[in-house]
Amino acid sequence: MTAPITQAIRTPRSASTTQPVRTLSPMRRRLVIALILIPVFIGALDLTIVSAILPEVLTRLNIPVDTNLGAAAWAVTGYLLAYTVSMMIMGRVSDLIGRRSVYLACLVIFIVGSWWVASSSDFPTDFLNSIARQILNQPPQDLNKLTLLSVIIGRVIQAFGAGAMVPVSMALVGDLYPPEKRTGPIGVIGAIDTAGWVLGHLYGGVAVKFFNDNGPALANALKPLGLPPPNWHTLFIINVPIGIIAFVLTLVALRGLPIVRGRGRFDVVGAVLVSAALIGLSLSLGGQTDVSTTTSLRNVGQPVPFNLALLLGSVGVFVLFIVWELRIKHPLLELRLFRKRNVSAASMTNLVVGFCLMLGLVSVPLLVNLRAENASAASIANAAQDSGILLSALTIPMALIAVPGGALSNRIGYRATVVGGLLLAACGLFFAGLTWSATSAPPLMALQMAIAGLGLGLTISPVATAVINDAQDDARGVASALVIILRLVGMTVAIASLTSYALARVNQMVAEAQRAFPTNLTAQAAEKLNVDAYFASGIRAINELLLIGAAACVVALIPALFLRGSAKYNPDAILGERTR
Amino acid sequence: MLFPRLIFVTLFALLLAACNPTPATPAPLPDARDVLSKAAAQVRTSKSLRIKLQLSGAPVYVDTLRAVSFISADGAYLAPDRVRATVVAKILGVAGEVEIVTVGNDQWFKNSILTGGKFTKAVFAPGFNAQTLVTSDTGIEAGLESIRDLKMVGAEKLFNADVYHLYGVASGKDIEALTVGLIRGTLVNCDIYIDQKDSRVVRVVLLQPDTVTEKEPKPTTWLLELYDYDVSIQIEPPVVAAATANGTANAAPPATIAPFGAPQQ
Repeated sequence: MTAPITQAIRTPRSASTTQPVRTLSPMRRRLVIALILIPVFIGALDLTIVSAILPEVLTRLNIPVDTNLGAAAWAVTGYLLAYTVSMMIMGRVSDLIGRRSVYLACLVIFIVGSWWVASSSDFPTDFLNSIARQILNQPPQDLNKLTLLSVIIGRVIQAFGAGAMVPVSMALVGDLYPPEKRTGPIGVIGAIDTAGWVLGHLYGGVAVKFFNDNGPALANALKPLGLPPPNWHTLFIINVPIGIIAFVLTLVALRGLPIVRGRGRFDVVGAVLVSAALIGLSLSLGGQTDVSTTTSLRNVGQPVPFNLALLLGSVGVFVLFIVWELRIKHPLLELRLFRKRNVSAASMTNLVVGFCLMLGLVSVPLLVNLRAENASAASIANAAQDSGILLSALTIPMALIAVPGGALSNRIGYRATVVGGLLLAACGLFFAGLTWSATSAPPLMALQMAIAGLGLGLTISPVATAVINDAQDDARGVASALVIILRLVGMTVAIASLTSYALARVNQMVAEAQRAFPTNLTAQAAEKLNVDAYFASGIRAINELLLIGAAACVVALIPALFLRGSAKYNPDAILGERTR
Repeated sequence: MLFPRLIFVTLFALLLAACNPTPATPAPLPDARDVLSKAAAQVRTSKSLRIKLQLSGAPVYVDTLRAVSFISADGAYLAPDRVRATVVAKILGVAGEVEIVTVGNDQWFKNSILTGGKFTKAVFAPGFNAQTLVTSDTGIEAGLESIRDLKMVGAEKLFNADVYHLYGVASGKDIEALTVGLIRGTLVNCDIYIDQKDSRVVRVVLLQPDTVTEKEPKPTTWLLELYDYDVSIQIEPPVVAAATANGTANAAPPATIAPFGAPQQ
């Protein structure tokens, strides 16, 4: 029989609540979690969907790709930045006014953003044109570019809603479940979130291809229903009915939910400072470089959008944020949280896990495309599909193991689970680094990626639960956001550093190889040797990246070894109770 | 306490109504043809103006193979015969941008693929001369004057401007000067907006209802906007550098659209 859950319910704003009031049945709790997972999945799906459909969007909007790709990339970057900022801000807001209202408000924001993107050619463009002409007194505008701007604005609105849903959901688990039962639901949320952003790219690409290949047949089928032919807009408008249904169901399911309201008020200055620092960090490290574009060493050879001045500025703003948070009574992020051993250790571990995950996500398409570039046109055509299959070998086990990982950490503790996961991931990446070559068999590569994915997946639930269980009721939203933000930061740092590293190493190795070329070569022979040198250097650079990933997993063992206890037994919490 | 307040509010409302002058009779609207003729003549006599032409709905193909379709053009005209424009067209389904400068019968253009992003002196639009845009027999003025069944729709607000809204119909052939010769078809619905303050054409919307098909449910619609009349601009021929030893041309500085008096490149 499930132990009764202690819940706090509506209390004055000034008081943090911990007193038990009433119980939700286990079935009802599962229903709540199942329902909140729908928007979490769609929001995560939309994080990466646009990278697959961006060329299609530009083509349909009649926007020249060669001169506007930089502007268009904001449809990806804007979402990522708003997603990150929203996590921190709305996580705290949910601590202050309660999860239910914040979750539902974020869902509404996401629905509005989805509708805005889907209808960007109509009302949003007219609206922006009116602002430009009537209020800003601008000359006539390029309406196609205004539509692209509408898409970007809509994406930012979407992300502001979607970003908050993951940490608020995790915090909700904290409200609904006692500490010893949180690992499972948190693992499920982590798995669904991961599955969403991993599948987004695939879903977008496949859906748009399907719409294009079957346009007339789909148009004929939908015409009797009065629906327009499907296109990229459809991928966003479909979020609206699903979101509305999810809103109604969640509204019903969350009725009578405990409302945990924290002390104090919202720290506006802190929110502005941390948002500026996160945006600056992301942009300065090349956060606008989408994973999907980093699929070829030839792309890696492009200038890295690294900006040292912006990076230093971001660090400066972050220091200001820390100082500000230490000085005020009700900070956005309670820094004393980091005094708790599990919070610090889990945060550091998750940062490095994000780094390792991105290394795996990027190395696979790099090798597959490099092999294709050196072979035939047919190989190039199949490269995207091969990359997708190999990436699935990494990400699907990662998502699937998240829930059992939570259960395992309940039995053997956070430390053993996370350490075991990191060692497994290190093994997978290490053997991949040693063995990947121009002729590696895909099944072997898939096996190594699956081992790495299982290892990284094992860390998802214990790391998040360790942070959330150590946070007080009125800081759980921020703590949940912290877990995800640190992983995103780790991923961003990985993209920037790997791009710089791979470029430098390939150039260095090609230069070394060229020094050994015989003299008096014909142009044809020189070209052949250069291609071979480029290919061999690319493979070696990828091997080194994977070995760096394995080393990073070993480094992550250091903070992971400081984790202690489990969801069932938390020494910090017990100590806290005794000293209270 | 409610009753005295009600009396007060009622009295105040009556007072306001009494003070409010009788609404002025709206000024009679001018004759549509006179307004249009005056505005059309302003296009011919302007020293310079900027033109933005955008197409929406069913595509309009430039070539007989239906491989190149027009999207938009954003240009500046400087009397008597200079134009600089950025034209966006879709070639085999992919949108691309071409910058064009014409001075008399000479033409230069640049495109990232066709010319490697550098201006090249070559004919892009055969036979085009900017002067034809404003000549009285073939230019924009003639095109506007050819609109028939003209009627005054009313006085309206278009963004921040008070405009006269006129409506008429034309054949594509008669008004081709408004779309640089691209419009076809026999029936074109024309909505013309003319600034009340200075009698200048600010917007023309050309809608071709007969372009609607099952595949293209939205009609071809041209949005022509004219602005910055007589604002000082410069359009100079781009300097095309001589080819270097390895056969590639140096980057040429772009043609300039700059205020009079600004240093020339």
